[in-house]
Amino acid sequence: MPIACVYVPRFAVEVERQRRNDLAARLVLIGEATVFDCSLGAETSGVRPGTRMSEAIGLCRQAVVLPPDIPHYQRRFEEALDVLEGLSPVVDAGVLGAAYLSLEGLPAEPVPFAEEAISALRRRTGLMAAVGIAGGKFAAWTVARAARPGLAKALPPGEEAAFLAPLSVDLLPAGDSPPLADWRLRLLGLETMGDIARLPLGAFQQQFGPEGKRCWELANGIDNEPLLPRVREETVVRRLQMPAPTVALEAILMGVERLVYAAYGGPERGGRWVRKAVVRAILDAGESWELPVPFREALADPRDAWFAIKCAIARRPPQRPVEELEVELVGLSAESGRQAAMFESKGRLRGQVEEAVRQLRAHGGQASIGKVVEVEPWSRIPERRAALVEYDS
Amino acid sequence: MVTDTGAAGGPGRIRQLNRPRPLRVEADADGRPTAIWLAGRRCAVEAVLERWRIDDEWWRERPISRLYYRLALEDGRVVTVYRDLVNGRWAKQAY
Repeated sequence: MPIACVYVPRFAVEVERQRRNDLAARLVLIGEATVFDCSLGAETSGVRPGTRMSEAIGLCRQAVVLPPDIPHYQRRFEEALDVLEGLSPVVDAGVLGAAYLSLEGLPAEPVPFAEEAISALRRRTGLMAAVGIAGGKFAAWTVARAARPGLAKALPPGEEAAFLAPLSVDLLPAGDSPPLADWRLRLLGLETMGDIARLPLGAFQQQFGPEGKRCWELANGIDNEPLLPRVREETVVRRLQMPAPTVALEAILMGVERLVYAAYGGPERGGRWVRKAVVRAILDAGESWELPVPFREALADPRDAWFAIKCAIARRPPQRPVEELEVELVGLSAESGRQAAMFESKGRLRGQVEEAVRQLRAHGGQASIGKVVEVEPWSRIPERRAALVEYDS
Repeated sequence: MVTDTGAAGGPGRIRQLNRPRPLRVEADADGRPTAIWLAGRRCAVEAVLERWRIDDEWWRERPISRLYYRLALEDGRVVTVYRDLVNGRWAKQAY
């Protein structure tokens, strides 16, 4: 199945440049302790996402350093995804700035389709993307990464491995606890994906475990990872423009309270319960502030929701003057969607189990019900560690 | 005075968990498994991920001496098997 990867290089920098005209010709570093994203000029000076900020500033002394505004980037990315959803029924949101589209069943040829996607994105969001087309997500992403922004490039079927062979192993995805640490690969003399592809799977998996297997398959152009269509969640949103930028907590709380009650009273909620609220603000310099407030259990009463939100804002209020406020209610559910407490009382749980056992025995006579008990959990002999004992209520 | 209910005392029936299950294994000349049979199907061993030995209860009449292997199979599964060094039989057991 052909997949198109729509990739906006240096997405966060591009979004910041749209917001601030003075950044157009400047080197840009976004991040705090480490670099989150950087402009092309900074990249040519040797800076990469993940570089320590102190080191990055040393490499680009003229750069403008900005704190990351993740909620804003996420919002802009969602806008881009909305545009792409108008072109393909299956859009998988990858990492920030990269989306995967299924080309299956579309009437247009892949490359003209990709050019249409680039043009639509440019027109509607001002973002310049590159598109890579290949048989799998990883290959499509690497092709898009290699293409110049504004261009679409398609890889003929079956040529994934040959295309990937000369590319650096740095492109391989790292897991949560990456066993494929660069230094280990380099220690083994593995610089390119072709080096990995030439190894037997067993040997590579023995060194790097299950993630190693996945990386070996990717290096060989084998990629069966399915597209995960974007899930659209139904939400209720209310916004309020402040009469003047304000930093006073009382005024902010008053605004949020009005929004919470308005959102709860909105017809979109339809009497459903709410699991979470997200409070957002646009600050004076165009920056964003976001505070997610998950409720302990789904709430139908705005007074309960407001109490939880007020406490959360008091703990972490916005630090700059607020120009606009927004409240979004998410996780709308029926009453049955109420979250059970994590620590139900043991007595109640035991009572439920005993009742279930009693009913089973009443129906089936000698029902065989057991419970697992630890016998010698320290034993080196596995079968000695635990046993199943007949349940005795 | 407490009435005798006549019920048997003690914890009731006890069943061991994670008991070893006999396994058909093909091994090379060094005794390393090269293929195992799971649900009637032969699975070649892609790699031996780990090997360790346990010796216990040597003071008893039936001592325990096992050589465990953690194996990566050709279909991607990882299983743990052992060879009983007392009677030479193979078994599958999660460790």
